Amino acid sequence: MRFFTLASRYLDQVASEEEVAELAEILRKSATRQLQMAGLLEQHANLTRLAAVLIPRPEERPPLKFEPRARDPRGPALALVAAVLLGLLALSVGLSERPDQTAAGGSPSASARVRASSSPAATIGLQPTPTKAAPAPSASPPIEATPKTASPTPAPAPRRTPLATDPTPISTPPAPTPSPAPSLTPAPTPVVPVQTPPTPTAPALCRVLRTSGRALRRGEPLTPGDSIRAGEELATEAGASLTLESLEGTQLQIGGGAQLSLTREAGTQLDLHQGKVALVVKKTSRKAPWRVVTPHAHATVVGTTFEVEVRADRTRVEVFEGRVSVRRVAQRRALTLRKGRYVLISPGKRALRALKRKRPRPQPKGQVVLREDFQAMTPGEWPRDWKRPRKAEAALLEVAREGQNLYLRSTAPDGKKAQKGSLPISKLTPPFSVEVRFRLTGQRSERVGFNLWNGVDERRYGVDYSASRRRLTVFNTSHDEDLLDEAPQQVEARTWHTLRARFAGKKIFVGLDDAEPLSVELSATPRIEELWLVSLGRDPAHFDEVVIRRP
Amino acid sequence: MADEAANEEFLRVYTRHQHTVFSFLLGAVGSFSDAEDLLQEISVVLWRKFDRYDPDRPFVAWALGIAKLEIAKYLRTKRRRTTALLPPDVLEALAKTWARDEGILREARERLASCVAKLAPKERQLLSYRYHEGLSQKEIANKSSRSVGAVNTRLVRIRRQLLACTKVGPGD
Repeated sequence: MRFFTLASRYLDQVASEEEVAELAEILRKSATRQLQMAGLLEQHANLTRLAAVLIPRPEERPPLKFEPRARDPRGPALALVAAVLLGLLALSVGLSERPDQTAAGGSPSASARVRASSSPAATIGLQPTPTKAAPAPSASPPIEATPKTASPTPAPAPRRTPLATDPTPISTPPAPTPSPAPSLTPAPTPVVPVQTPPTPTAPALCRVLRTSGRALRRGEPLTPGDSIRAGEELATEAGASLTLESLEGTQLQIGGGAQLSLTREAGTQLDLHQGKVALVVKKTSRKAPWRVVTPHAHATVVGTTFEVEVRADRTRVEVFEGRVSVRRVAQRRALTLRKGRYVLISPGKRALRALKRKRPRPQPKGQVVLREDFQAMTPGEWPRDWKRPRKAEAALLEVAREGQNLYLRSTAPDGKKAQKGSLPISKLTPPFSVEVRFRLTGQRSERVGFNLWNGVDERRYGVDYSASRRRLTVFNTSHDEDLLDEAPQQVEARTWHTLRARFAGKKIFVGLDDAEPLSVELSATPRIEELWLVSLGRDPAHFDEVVIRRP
Repeated sequence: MADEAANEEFLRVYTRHQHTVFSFLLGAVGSFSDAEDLLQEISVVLWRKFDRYDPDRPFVAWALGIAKLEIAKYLRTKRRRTTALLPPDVLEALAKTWARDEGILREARERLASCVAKLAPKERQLLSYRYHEGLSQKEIANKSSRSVGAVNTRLVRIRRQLLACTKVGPGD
């Protein structure tokens, strides 16, 4: 509640310095609040434009109820004006951004869509239109005033290509044909036949955090950042995994071979038809619990961590933290499962019985833990659908584990069959070190190194050596910011070298071979969740060995 | 020819995201007039630097990264600041949120019109004072014979209601 008061006062520019500091502190701590603040700012920006059309000025409001009014002969005309205004508004506010819209400038299809699909048109049609003309959109595009000459820009600086593909790409629609008109009005977009979702107006319930292997929505692959709406059927292929995060922060880790869908009604319901899902449920209000429904059981939860596995003949529910209420599909009596207990539910009427795990689960803390798909892999085997990035290539690697060290070794260092290698790590925190042994092939365009996904501040860092620049760099790929840019000793081609990075607290010590390492300080102590090994260039460098070491 | 194609590509991408840039600027500088001034400047900077934009990266992240630098410059040149503003690290976090949850926020923007239409007449009247006539909380209080606190409380409630309606998040 305090957050909304502070945010609202900030929007109205009446917040004191202390209040802004308090608001900033809240925003620093919570990703949900950050999303809500972004939503409030979007709302604030767009209400100015909407107010002119949607909100009648007080003096223009119709007389209050109880007085029967004669039918206004201007009604149809007003409705038409309102519809046109709304069409224009829709284009300015963002409906025009939909890829399935046809053209700018309030095309008949655009206004027809608005009239047919949203209630505001009806509201406007019944009320007098504001006499004051709608102001121009406040965010009016300025480009018309600055026509681009033949060569108005300086030569571009060498562009830094992120070493790895971005794990959170924009979930944008296919690129439309560009508009020939040099203005910032919405560009004409070709009508592309799009598969209609089952519930087009359903709210987004979750977004995709990560995928490994193929995770599908109506047969189309999911990518990080995609929104999942109510009623959409999701599936993962065998060996794949999918991580979703709901708006309130609940995480769902879905294993391979799963089929499920999500709906929202007095809470969120996960219909799990098949497969295994682990849930880390945020403490929400009791009125909005999470429910998991399988062919055999119902499990209800408020703020806990548990796992549900569905097979053809039974459902298994296990609780790691908190409590979960479980009942058979056709029964009202529920069993409350506590931490460390599980229950098997198969068809029948027998009373449910909580069972205790005989052996505690290995906890991931304090050791390097491989993801399920990596644990299942034999050395030298990589997922068949491993995505080959457009600009990046890397040597094929083998993975091997020895104690707490993880080794990756190239087996096909010819460059032609190179693939990108990725090593997902679960919550790896300093101190640890990464050593990459590599050999350049002599191409000037080569860059070799690795990228990290930091789970703390959601930044991506790159550590690499560039053959063309002859420099060792540490950079923030999220913001294209160099944290370190140094010229090390000569790195000869066709000779094996080692790039070392040691992580200690907020610091990274980076060096090549046996040279004195250089240090870089990050904004927060990292918790590395993923590591990519990448080599860029037409003829990519070879990796020989990668070692992740913990003391 | 290549320039023309680049222009068209810029227009296509920028048109899609200019609302986001404007909302971010509004959060950074507070006032609509400052945000509009800045948007003018930043649009030109984005256009000039567009040849350095890596299409593999989210446009919003790139645009807001540049916007942050321009905001810093703008605030340095603006000597007198009457209101407190969010610090740069929080703006950075918000920029990341926009880049990450762009889809959710875009959908919210699309739903806003229908959500406003669902508000009670008195609530829409208040929004009209605030956003159509551009009145301050104090001016609204004078005009509607209410206390400033009551106006503030009502605005908080309306904003939460709209946020919940646009499905950006639980309005707890």
